[in-house]
Order: sequence, then C-alpha cells, then structure tokens
Amino acid sequence: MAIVDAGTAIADQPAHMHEPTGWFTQYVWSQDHKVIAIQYGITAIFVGLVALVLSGLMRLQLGFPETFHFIDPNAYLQFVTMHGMIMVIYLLTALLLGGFGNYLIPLMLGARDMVFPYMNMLSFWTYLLSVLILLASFFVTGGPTGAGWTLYPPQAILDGTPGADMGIILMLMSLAVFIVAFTMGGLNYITTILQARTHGMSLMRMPLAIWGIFVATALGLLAFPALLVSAIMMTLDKLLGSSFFMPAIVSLGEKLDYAGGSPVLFQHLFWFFGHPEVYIVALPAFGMVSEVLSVHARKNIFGYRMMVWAIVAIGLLSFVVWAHHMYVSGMSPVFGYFFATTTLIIAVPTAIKVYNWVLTLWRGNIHLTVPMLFAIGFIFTFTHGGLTGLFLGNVVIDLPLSDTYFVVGHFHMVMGVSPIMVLFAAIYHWFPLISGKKLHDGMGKWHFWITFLGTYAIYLPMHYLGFLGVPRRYYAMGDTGFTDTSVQSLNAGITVSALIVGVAQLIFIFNLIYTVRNGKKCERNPWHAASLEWQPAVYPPPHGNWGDKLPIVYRWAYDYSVPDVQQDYIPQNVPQDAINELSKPRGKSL
Amino acid sequence: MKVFSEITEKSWLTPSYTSPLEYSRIEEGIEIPVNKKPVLVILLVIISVFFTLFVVTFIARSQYPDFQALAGDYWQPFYNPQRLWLNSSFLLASSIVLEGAVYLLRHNKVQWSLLALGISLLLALQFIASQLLLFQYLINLGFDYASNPANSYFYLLTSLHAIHLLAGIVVLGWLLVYVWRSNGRKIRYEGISLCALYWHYLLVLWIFLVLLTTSSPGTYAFIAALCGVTLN
Ligand code: HEM
Ligand SMILES: [Cu+2]
Repeated sequence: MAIVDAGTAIADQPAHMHEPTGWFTQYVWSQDHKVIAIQYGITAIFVGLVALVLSGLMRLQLGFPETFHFIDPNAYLQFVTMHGMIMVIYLLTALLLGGFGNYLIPLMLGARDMVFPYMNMLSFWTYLLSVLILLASFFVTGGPTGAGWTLYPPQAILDGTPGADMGIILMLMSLAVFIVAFTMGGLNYITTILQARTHGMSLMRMPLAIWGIFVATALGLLAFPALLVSAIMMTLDKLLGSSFFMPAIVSLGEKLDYAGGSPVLFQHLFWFFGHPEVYIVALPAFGMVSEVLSVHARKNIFGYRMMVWAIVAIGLLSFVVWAHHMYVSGMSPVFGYFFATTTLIIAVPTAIKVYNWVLTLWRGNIHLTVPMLFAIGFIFTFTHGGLTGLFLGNVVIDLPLSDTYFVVGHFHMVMGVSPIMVLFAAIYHWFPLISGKKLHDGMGKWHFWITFLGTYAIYLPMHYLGFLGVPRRYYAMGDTGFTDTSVQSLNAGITVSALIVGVAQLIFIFNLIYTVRNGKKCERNPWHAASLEWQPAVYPPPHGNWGDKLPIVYRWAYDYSVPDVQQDYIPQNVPQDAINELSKPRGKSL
Repeated sequence: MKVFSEITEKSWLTPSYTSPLEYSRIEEGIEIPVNKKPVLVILLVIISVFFTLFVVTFIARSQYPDFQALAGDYWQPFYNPQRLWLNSSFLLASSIVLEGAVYLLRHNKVQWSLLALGISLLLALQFIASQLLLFQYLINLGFDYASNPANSYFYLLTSLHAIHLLAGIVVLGWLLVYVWRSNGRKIRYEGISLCALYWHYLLVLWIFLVLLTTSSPGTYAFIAALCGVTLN
C-alpha cells in the first residue's frame, strides 16, 4: 500500500479551511463544484424520469391503440416533443456536462474548485429555472408544445399544433434560459481546464474524460448560440408578428399576416446547433467510457494520443455535417453530396475510437464489474447505432427512410441509449468517490442485463418497422394498405419491452437510495484507479479537494500493469523514486 | 506552434508542466488566480458567433422579394443614414473616454480616471437613449417592427447590441461604485481595462451593424451571391 500512501500523506495534515458553515451554504447555496454537480445530477435525473414516463405513455398508445382514452392525438404529440427535448437537453447535456463535468474537472486536474465558483452556482440555479419553466408548460392552457423536438415553424407557432400559444413560448424561453446557464458553466469548464491544472498536468496528461468534456463544452459554446438565435427569431415571429421564418400562409381557412419568411432558414439554424449537440452528448460519454474501460481492464487506454486527436477531429467536423438532417427539405444535389461526404468522413475518427476501445480490452485483465458491463454494453449499442448512421448519411438511402421508425431506431441507439449506458457506467464507477459507498452489485447486474437486452428488444424491431414504412410521430397507424397486421403485434411487443426496461430503472433508483442510506463505507480507491480524482484522502473529498497542498502529477492517468512494478497500477501523483523503491521484489502484491 | 507541440507531446514521457497554481495554498482560501482576459476573449468569440448567425440569416432573407432594404430607395429612412452615424458618435466617444480612463488609472490618477469613467458611462447611456429616439422616429414614419423584414432585422439587431451594452454598463457602473467606495485604494485595474476591451468590441460590432443595415440591395445581392445564395 506504500504507493497509495504517497498520495495520502499530502492530505493527511489537518489544515485550516474556509469551509462553508451552515447547512444552507453547504448544500443549497453551495459554491463547491462537487455539491453543484450533485444538484445538477439530481435535477437532471428527475426530469429524465419525467421523460421516461412520457415515453412509457407513448408506447402504451402505440402498442395498444384505442385503449387509453386520456391519450388523444394532441397529447401524443406533446409527449413526443417533451420526451425528446427533455432527454437530449435537460437530461443528457445537463447530466454529462453540468453533473460529471463539474464533478470531474477539478478533481481530475488537481484543482481546488472551478475558477469561478460563484458563476458555477449561478449556472445551476439558472438551469433549475429553465427546468421549472419547461415543466410549467404542462400546466398552462393548451399544454406543452407538440411541435416535435425540432420545433419546426411554421407549424410550431400556428393554431392546430398543440401548445401553439403558451406551450411553445415557454419552451423557447426555457431553452434560452438553459443556454445562459450552459454558457456560464461552459466558460467555467473551459477556463478551469486551461488555467487551473496542477503541477505536471500537461494537456496530454489529462484523462480522456476531460478531453471529451473540454471539446464538448467548446462545441456547446459555439453551437448553442444557433439555437438561441432561432429561438429568439421564432419568439418574435410569434409574439410581434415579424416574418423571419413564416411564409405567407392560410391557416384554418384564414389568411395570416405573415409573408415571405423562410422555414428552411430555421432548419439550417436548428441543425447547425442540432448536429453538434449530438457530439456535445457523445464526446463526454466517449471520454468517460475510456476511463471506465481502462480501469476495469487493468490496461492503459490503447492509442491515447489518437484518442485525443479523434475527439478534436470529431469536434471540428461536427460543424460541417448539419444538413444531413435536411436531405428531404429539397436541397440541391450538390449540397446533398457535400454533406453526405462530410458525414461519412466523420465516421473515420469515430471508428478509430471504437477500435481503440476494443483494443484496450484485448488481452486486458477484464473485471466484469457493473460499470464495466455498462461500458462494454456501450460499445455494442454505439457501434450498432453508428452503423445505421452510415446508411442514413447517404442521400439515396435517407430519402425513403427519413421520418420512419428506422430513424427512431437509429438515433435512440446512437444518442439515446449509448450515452445513457455511459452515464450508468459512470455513476456505478464514480459513486464510491461521490458518496464513499459502492452501489449494490447484485441490483446493478440486474439493472444492466434488463436494460441492455431490453434496449435491443425495443430498438431492433423499430429498424424493421422503418423498412416497412411506419412513419414516426404518428399517434396511430389506422388502416393502411402498406403495413401488415403483424406491425401491430410487433408494436405491442416493443411496448412490453419498453415498460419492462422503464420499470427496471426503479431498481437503479432504489439502489441509489438504498446505498446512500444503508450501504457500508467502502475501501478507499475501490477500483484501484490511477487517475487523480481517486487520490484525495477521504471520500467524498473535502471542500478544497486537496487538503493543505495541491497534488503533483508525475505521469499520465493510465499506468496499469506497468512491467516490473509490483502493484498493478501507479497513481498519477506518485513520483518515480517511490516506484523504484517499490519495484524491488516484495512479498505480497496488491 | 505552442498548441501543436502541446497536443503532440507524448503523454507517457513528458517531463513536467508548471502550473500557475503555485501559490494557491489552502490558507488563502480556495480562490484560484485566473487570467481573465482569455475568458473575455472567449466570451467575445461566442457573441460574435451569435451575431454572425443573425447576419447570415439576414443576408439570406434579404434575397426574398418582399425584403425592402432600409437604404434602398430615396424615400427609405436610411437612404441618408446621417442620424445613425450621429448616434454612433456617442458610442465612439464613450469608447475613447473609457480608454482614457484606463490610461489615467494606469498612471495612478484615480480621481480623474473615475471622472472619465462616469463620462464614458453617460455617453453610453446617451447612445442608447438616442437610439430609442431613432426608433420612435422610424415608427412615426410608419416603419413598424413587423411591416417589413428589413425593419424587423434593424430593430432586432440594434436592440440586441443595446442589451449587450447595457450589461457592460451594469458591470462598469458596479466597478465605478466599488472603486469610489474604497476611496481609490482598490483600483480594479484588470476589470476596468477588460471593460474597455468589451466597449471597443461593441463599437466595432456596432459599426459593422450600421454598415450592414444601411447597405443597398445591390450589396446584399452581391454578398449573397458570394455565399452561394441566389433566390431571385
Ligand atoms: C426506455 C427508453 C425510451 C423509450 C421507450 C423511448 C421511446 C420513444 C418513442 C416511442 C418516441 C416517439 C416516436 C414517434 O412517435 O415518432 C421517442 C422519440 C424520441 N426519443 Fe425516445 N425513448 C427512450 C429513451 C430516449 C432517450 C434516452 C433519448 C435521448 C436522446 C431519447 C430521445 C428521443 C428523441 C430525440 C425523440 C424524437 C422526438 C421527436 O420526434 O420530436 N429517447 N422515444
Ligand atoms: Cu447529425
């Protein structure tokens, strides 16, 4: 254990610290990045559960139409919209960056906190405000907007679309507030990563999780303005009657005052944000899963530098592929060709990452712990979703499949389930650090297997439905000439699986609560991880993280199974002399 | 290039990296010394992206037949944009005086510097006020917000610019009061000089917006053609 002690010694001396006093400053108006991370996390998981319930309701309607009378076509569209928006923005973005970004950045870099703790706190409260505005739309007259998560005008703000009065306004306001929150948080993350790394933590010694979070934050800072711009202009079209996006239109038999605007302009703006958004969610997940795979395979990550460059390359490329979401908008074939090409090019760095994860596992000493199971599950779901993405990236294949369940299957695999897999892996992996306790293993395994297998039971058939031409965002299929009755049985099957998966998440929630209340304190650094965040003396780390003195970093984050060293990992803050000392043959190894 | 060498170094070999955190011992609280200028620069990049996106949509929208450029025909209000330039001069003056205030602060003439700061703030407020009067004037002429996309864009872009300026006024005003209250002992040089940078940025942005909104339809068509947008 001597190596570990080298890490502890620093923090052992009790130091006078400016700790917040009082319950309120400690847990509510906290400026400590760890507390803010947990606040972000709990809020995000809470809205995530709302979105999960909405998806359950949609599935009930699709699987058993004409059974649930409280779900009418309007309600269905509202569920689709709120489900999609909540999942993408308010759950995934917030949990990955606001939650894990906040928790991991200072700890992994050896900083005491974010550089602007006050702004960090404001960021969370602003995010909470955006969530409240969003949820408020369930309670206004007309209900939430049913425009689809893409909010395309003109229909988004016209009568006939559910929530076209208050609902859409609240949605746009909530998004604007969210973007403000994200910008405050994002400036903090970027500045902390650039300016507050501890001694020895050069850029290329940062764990991949930080690289992922870093590039994703940069993408967010540059891409969210596009959403803000489109939200502002659409709000003005709605409230003040300008015609940025609104063409001359006859609605419900009445000619409106709008004229000359361009709905396609909105689509360009939306997807200029929307595609990078996919990577805002994916890149932190890529980074975090790399940590989990490396630790639980007791092997350094394969091709670290290439992994970093791939993250950067994906980040850059993600700004030039947006129109692959608009092949059916009537764009010129030249543009279609251009965007299909860039889309296929972005697959190259992405594939490099997948190969490197697999090669990290190869001949590793794989421990099938719960986080590892989720991480390996991610490799499956992500590869799967990525491959269907290659199909959809081609114009000729996308045209017939656009707006069918094939697309629903594709994007759920690649940006729904995959980041969720990583989030679960991350929560199981870092929970001991966050709470000092390990989540219950048995429950974790049940949770994993039901979720993983259930995912395939839900989404594989959807690809097939898409081939048959079943359209997305449809309340009910009714009688169509082109779909067989078997479609309905398949839908019922999907619904049953979805409900099982949905309920299985209660195991996870229960596990969280159970462990926090009844779990035993676990040993320090239970996974024997080398990266810096595990090296503080106590879990959770105290305010200021590092006790009296900052840690000093002597190596990268992946020194596992180093030849000639007894212990199978070397923490980042262990100097070379301590290792030479330890490499002498000893009786017992760790 | 530094960035290039930094991201090509071999992580498993690198000797060491010295952190600016050297002096951050816990006794001094956990405040981390930050170089704030890069943070402002990043913020300015984000603001630029924000306005650029508006401008891109402006150019595209200007090519639709219903768009009537505000400087198009001689009866349009900005056929003669004199009044707009007059307003701009307030912003220009504000920027110059603010730079002077920073200069005075650097040479420890705190009293004079505070005076200049005050004048600069007043000039900025004057700018916003005269813009509001211009709005009033345009509306009286019948150029409503919604009557034409060119008008919508003019009101929208200038208002967004004003909102950014107002945010700056709040921050600078706060700094002014802070320095005043401390009787000039804490001079907040960094914050005030960053405000000056922000002011100059907003000035450049403003001039760009004025040039954009007062260009002729031919210019828009030309820019649009350069960007590959040809709708007419
Ligand atoms: C148990 C898990 C989930 C189930 C059962 C589920 C189910 C559904 C269903 C039934 C739809 C509507 C399809 C339609 O009628 O067009 C949908 C749409 C959508 N879902 Fe999920 N979903 C789940 C998880 C997620 C996650 C984790 C994400 C995160 C990205 C997500 C993102 C979306 C999006 C973006 C839409 C599109 C909304 C729209 O068309 O406007 N879903 N989901
Ligand atoms: Cu995309």
